[in-house]
Amino acid sequence: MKRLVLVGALVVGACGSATDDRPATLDYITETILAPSCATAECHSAFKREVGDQFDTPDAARRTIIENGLASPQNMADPGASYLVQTLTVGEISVIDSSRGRIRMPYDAALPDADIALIKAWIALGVPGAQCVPNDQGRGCSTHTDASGTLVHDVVECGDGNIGAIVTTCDAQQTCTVFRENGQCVAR
Amino acid sequence: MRRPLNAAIAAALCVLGLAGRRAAAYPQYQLSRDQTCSNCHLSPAGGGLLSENGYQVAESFSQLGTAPQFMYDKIPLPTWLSIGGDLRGAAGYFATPQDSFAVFPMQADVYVRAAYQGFSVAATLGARPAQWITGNGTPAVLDRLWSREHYLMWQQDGNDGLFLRVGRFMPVFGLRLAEHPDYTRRFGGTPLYAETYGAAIEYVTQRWEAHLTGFIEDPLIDPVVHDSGVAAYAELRPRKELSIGGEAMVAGHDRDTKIRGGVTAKLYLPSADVVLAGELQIVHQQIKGPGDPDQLVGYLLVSRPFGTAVLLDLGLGHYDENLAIQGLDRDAVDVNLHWFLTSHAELVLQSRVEGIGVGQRTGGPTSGWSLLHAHYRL
Repeated sequence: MKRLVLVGALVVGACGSATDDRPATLDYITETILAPSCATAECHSAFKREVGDQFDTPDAARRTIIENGLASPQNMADPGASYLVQTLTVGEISVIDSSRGRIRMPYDAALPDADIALIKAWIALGVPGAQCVPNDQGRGCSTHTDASGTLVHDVVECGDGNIGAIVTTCDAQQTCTVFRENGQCVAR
Repeated sequence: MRRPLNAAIAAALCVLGLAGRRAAAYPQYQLSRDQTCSNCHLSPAGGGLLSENGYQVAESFSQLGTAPQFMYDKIPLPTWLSIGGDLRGAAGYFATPQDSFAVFPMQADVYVRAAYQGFSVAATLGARPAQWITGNGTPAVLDRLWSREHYLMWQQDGNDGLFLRVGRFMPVFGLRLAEHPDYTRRFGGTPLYAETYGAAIEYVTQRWEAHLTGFIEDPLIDPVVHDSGVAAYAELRPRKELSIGGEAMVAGHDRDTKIRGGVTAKLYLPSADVVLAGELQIVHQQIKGPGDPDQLVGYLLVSRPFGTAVLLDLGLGHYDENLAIQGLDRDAVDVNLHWFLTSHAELVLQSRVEGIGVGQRTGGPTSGWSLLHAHYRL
């Protein structure tokens, strides 16, 4: 039976090309890699959004990558050093419980090397579609923790205009929080 | 950079992708015990509450004799009311490839169904994993509860005939294997908690059955799957021991559409008391922008009972996320050993080894896990 499995795998696997010409775009990476492998029910779907990360749609992935600093144009020179690639290859310190040490994702099965390479290629391009550059007023995707320890998202306004649904501009008397996929202004 | 959060939620609640399990019984019993899912379940698609015949089948395959009914038949129910439930938990070792050990709850659901003549209302009420709250917040009790399924159904006559359903349920598609990590569940259009609102027209006979489900993205909660679409599944049983099926699904959202087509087959070999079940899907994914991939998802399950209380499953999975590129295919070997202590209590030792790009120049790390899973049916 083991031989049968191996033969079957070889036959099917031999169909593909060794040249990886997939587009290194956020849409493609999200829909073909991150969503099926990471956005499962108990993990990074909208349903659970474990540790605040959500990878089931390009908009959600964009917000997650920007807000949580998973990758940025600063990683262009060395994509392997980005938090995202580190998490997918050697693991990062657990966000839930740091005493658990490094946790590699996905938790239940590793990603193919070629998928990691595609993500690295996208980061090397400057994370197009998930860039967030402070504008002339210095407003970007910044967060701060208020007195009660709650993470508050300050007004988010990206230079590339790509942050989508969570772009929110709040009045001076309001602060901006992110609840589910939509930015909401809350009175101070 | 992200900050470390000291969440009060136990880490064990998120053993990614493996916690939780849809309440389904054993498609392995089809053909070897009965012809259709509705012979043993009240739902035409299987899963959830058992019928009287389902109770007898469960009792016939267990180590110790008990009353198989709800709460051992200690709580008499009127004929129009059915109640049941499932509790599950698991502990195990993961090497993916990082080594870790985890203990986690899987399921705590109660099923209720009330029937009047041909009409019935069914609901599943239970625990759900709470959505993460930014800023280390603690979810409210209500955020940990939900109704995974609730629907109104009209059925023509008993187990056979026409069924019409509207409400929240899993689109009927493929073999409907109980284990959601099986590739045809996880990557095949019906992952864990993919139940959503829809309407289905279903026709079930002992010789054939057909299911057509239209569904929409859940408008009430943040769902696991964002797709709306149509799923169709039909199965013919030309002989008592053989079924052949076909499946099609078109589902998507604004930036992504998946078109699935596939076949299923199931064969029972009475001389060896073995059930072979297979499902193979071709998937064409249309993504905003270039590079639409074609994918392949398949699963082969070989299942054999030993004695009157042990069931051994050997599963072989294949998933290729892009047929045009080498090194992106995964192969899994699953071994599940079930021990039915009673018709209410079950222990399952579940193990998987998964390789990437097996036999090719590129691939990825080999992963594996082994879990001991306990199940109690109310």
